[in-house]
Amino acid sequence: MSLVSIAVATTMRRRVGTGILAWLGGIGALVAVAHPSSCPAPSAEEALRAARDGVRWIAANQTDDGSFLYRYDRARGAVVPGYSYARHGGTLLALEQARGVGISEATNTAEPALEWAIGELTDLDGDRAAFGPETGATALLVVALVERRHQDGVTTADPLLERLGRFLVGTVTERGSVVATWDLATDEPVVGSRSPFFTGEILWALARLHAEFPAAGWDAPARRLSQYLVTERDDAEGWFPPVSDHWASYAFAEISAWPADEHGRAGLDDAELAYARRQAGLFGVQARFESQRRPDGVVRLTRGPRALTAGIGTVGEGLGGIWRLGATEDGLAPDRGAVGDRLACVASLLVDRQTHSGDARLDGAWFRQDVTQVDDAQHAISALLQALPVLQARS
Amino acid sequence: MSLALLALAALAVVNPARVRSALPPRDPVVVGFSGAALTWVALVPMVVGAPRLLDHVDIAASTLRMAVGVVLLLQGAVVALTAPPVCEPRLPGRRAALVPVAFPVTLTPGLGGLATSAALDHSAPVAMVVLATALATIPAFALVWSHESPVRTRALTALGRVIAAALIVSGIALLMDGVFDI
Repeated sequence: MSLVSIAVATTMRRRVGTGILAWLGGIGALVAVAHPSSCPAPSAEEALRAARDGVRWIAANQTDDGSFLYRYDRARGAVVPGYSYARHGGTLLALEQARGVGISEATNTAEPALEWAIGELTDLDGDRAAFGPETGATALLVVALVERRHQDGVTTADPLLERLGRFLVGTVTERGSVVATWDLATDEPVVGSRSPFFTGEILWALARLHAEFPAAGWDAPARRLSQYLVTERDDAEGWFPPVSDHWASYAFAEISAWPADEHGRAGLDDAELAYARRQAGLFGVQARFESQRRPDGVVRLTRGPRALTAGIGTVGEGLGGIWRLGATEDGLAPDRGAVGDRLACVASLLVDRQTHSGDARLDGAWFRQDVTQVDDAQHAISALLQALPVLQARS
Repeated sequence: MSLALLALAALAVVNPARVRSALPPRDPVVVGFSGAALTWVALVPMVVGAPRLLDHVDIAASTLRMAVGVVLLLQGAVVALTAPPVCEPRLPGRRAALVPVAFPVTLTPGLGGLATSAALDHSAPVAMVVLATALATIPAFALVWSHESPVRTRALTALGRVIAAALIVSGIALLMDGVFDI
């Protein structure tokens, strides 16, 4: 072989080798971004069992006055101080939802929790009542009471619902934004107070009130709030990335089921549907990302630590709302299968990450870095219950 | 990914202006056609087999789309910033269709990734038709473009970079499409 032909062969090999290197680099980039998910869908029975175990953890650790164990550190074996009215309301909602699927332990836990909440109410002028200064807490108490109304058909709390609702209407500005904090001593809004979640919570509360009491006019502030939420909220309040709003997802599923109003308007408008579609994408990418996480190994480095269970649960709740919305809104119907896949995936993560132990402080809880908080259980239970119809349909 | 985005990305990742630089002076149309055909054949197992493989390892279509978007973005940046390929070294005669035209110039990781993602998002037949159409621009471009003068060579390089910019845009669009998909 001549020197020339050897040189040609060498440069040829170099050229092909460069191509192979490019492929290796490309495959490396693909693998770095597209990690496999790990979320084999649980059966509906497994999801229900996990929700029941979560309820049992709340029940076993409830204090005598009806409040919940707020935060527990298993590494120190210690209760960590703190409490949140909003999370009390949210947990009450999860318990009422659990009653709805026959988890009997939820009943005995919800009763004293509701009594505790009623005992913490602040009466305000104009026949209004607030559950603490965080306006979202009042909203969550409303949605929990409406859930209870659905379960029992009992209307004894209707006057209370109206008082709480009147307070919530006062938190909605003309523009449609909501005040996050209310000064209960002066009965004045704390100007400029904002929360990423209270807007959606209050929207859902008003939406539920309208569904229960259609002649009372709860729909007008709800519609105003909804328009603000879908068109302005994230920009006006500086939330970036946009709020992943599971409460709005619940709310839009509720609004979509409203009967037509006097103008013949029913369902969501285009802006609301577009917002719901964007939210579905936000929930979807979070579910996909979380399902790629691993507790150790290389993926632990590329994907970071696992998220708080409360966060994962909210993704499931958001997907649940969008899934129900897909049944009533044609514009979202094509996405329903993918939404159901992600919701089943979230259920898989929650079932997989639940703690099982002989210790009542641990059994049925979801820990992250050795700490659990009541809203971990709250959102996990709600998400598992949202996933039940999807899992049942697939079994 | 929409069909329009797929078509744009396919054309941009094939980049007929860049491939034109790698065609030999003799029989560029025939060599270009053969190189395109070889590339298309090499894509068949990826298009047909990859969806099953990805399903097995549980990678969602939207997640793969994000990853392919990143690869296209990187490939677009490399193409935009580097000199166009030349026809030497190459296999003798029409075998230049294999090296360098089909590999490594045309059959790039971006094209392979896009083919796989397109098969997942649409179907294998749709992906193969779109890719065949994009690859057909290689001989078509060779037919209408001669780069014998320095001015035309510079214009060809510039056009290749413009198409590389379109590849970057396509990559970003695919990435966003994957992020905001469900």
